[in-house]
Amino acid sequence: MTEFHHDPDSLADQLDRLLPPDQPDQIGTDGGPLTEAAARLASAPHPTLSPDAMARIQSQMMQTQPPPQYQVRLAALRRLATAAALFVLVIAGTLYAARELGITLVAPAMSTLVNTPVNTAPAAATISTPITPAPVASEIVVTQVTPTVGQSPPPTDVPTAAPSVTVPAVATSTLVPIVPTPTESLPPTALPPPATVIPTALPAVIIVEGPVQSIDENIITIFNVDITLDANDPVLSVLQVGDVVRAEGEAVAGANTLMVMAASVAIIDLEVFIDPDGAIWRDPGDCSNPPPAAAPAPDWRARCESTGGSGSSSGDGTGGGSPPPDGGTGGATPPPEGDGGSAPPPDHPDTVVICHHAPGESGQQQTITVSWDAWVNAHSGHGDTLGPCQ
Amino acid sequence: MSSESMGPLVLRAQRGDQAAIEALYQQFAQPIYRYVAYRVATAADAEDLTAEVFVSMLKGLPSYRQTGVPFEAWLYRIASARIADHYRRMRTRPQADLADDLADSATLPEDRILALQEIETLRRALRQLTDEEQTLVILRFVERKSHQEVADVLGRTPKAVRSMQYRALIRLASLLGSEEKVRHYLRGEKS
Repeated sequence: MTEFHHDPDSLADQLDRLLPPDQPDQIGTDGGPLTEAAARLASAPHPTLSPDAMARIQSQMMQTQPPPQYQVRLAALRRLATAAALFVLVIAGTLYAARELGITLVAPAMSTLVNTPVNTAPAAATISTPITPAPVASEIVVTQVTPTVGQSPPPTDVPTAAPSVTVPAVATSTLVPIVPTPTESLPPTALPPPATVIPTALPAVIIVEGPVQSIDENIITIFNVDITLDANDPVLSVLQVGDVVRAEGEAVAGANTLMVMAASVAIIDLEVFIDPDGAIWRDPGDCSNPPPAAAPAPDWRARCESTGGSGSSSGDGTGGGSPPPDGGTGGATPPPEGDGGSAPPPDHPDTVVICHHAPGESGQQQTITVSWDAWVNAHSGHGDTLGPCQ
Repeated sequence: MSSESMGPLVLRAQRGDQAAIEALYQQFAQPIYRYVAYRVATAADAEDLTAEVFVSMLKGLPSYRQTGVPFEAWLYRIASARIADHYRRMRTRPQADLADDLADSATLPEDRILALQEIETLRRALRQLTDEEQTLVILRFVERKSHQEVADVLGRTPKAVRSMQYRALIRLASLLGSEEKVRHYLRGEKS
């Protein structure tokens, strides 16, 4: 009886019944031409290799047989070599990218300054000597080069007065530098791109030191890093653009740029004092504004009380530097007036570019832009000079 | 022998165990020869190509596990590749007469001659199919492999193999002289 199988599946099922796999002796047909063709092929006297031919082929095969074990080893060696080459490429690529983007991996032994407690940290920016990174490096320091108006940043392996963003060893975050999009507005100083912190299991403790670029209510920006302060933090009432501060806090999760929720912020390049009533005193850099009696103000007192307000300095380097002996450097600094203060010219600019001499670190300089007030009240009083660093 | 039970034997062969290599040869020599013999014109070509398949097997044994297919399927793929090489070589030189096997058949008994004629008829029809269809039909109905096993060799899904089988058998039935019958069959008419 002919059966009709107009679809592949019913034909396949029928063939599985008539010519089941692995049962060469069972050959059936339903009378249809398709199953008949299959059955004819299945029942044909198939070609057979004669015993002589079998022996010939076996002999030929054995003569040309390569040493299989040796080849197995070669294959394993090839795989190993490929894996090693890939590993080297990944490491080299990482190092190259890190170098290009200004990320320096440092070993713990090379970062003693980074590990200095906040209260005793020197006022200067942390300097970390770049070394060849080891895979087990426990810290990542994003080193920022000296920002210079109108100049390209120097290579990152010359960290002149480089403020830093430090991730101590407890952090397991990944620092991923990103390139700012064209729509982002950059500050006047040419800064390297900001970094992104992607927190993982443990919170990352971020320490940022450097001059304040901008203040927006309780958010201050240092080297393009937004640092959010407690809105009631008294330091906000005294902080000015240009002040060099040290901020310590945690990276904010989910931000596409590095943001820090600050636990503590301290101005480190001049003395300030806030009394319990909220009255603020800032060291003006000269002797024109004596501190309240309750204020320790060791720098101001050492500078002004011992000399009767002559403007000379004997600071310890933790909050101020030596004022220029002649009241200026190279004619760039406004001439001193009275006991060493600077009087603003009648039409002074809102901001000025100065060469900032980082307190406590002799020879460390950086070019920054500060407000005229910050220049007059603070920077001009401890050795900074107008104009970019030479 | 199933694919699973082949594993230890193949592993021993990969380590250079002569007995294992011989066992593999003894197991697969005839099926490979049959497959090749249906696809080439002469028994001599089939024997040469079978030898090439097993030499290739030995050379390729160290890297066999990377291919991820059953050992038998891997062998059939080698055979298919060697047959393709054979036909590429054939294009550059005169083709051998298809009836080589029958040329010396005058001294053979009649049933043997009839058997050779049937093989030749089937071979000529099969060679009208595509390479994949030839492989499918030979493995499915000469070697009696399942759809899954054929799919492993062809690198296709069982469903694709079933569809291909349907088309191949329609063509093969027509080539074997059942064209009229096939037409009636496809129309759903009883012959």
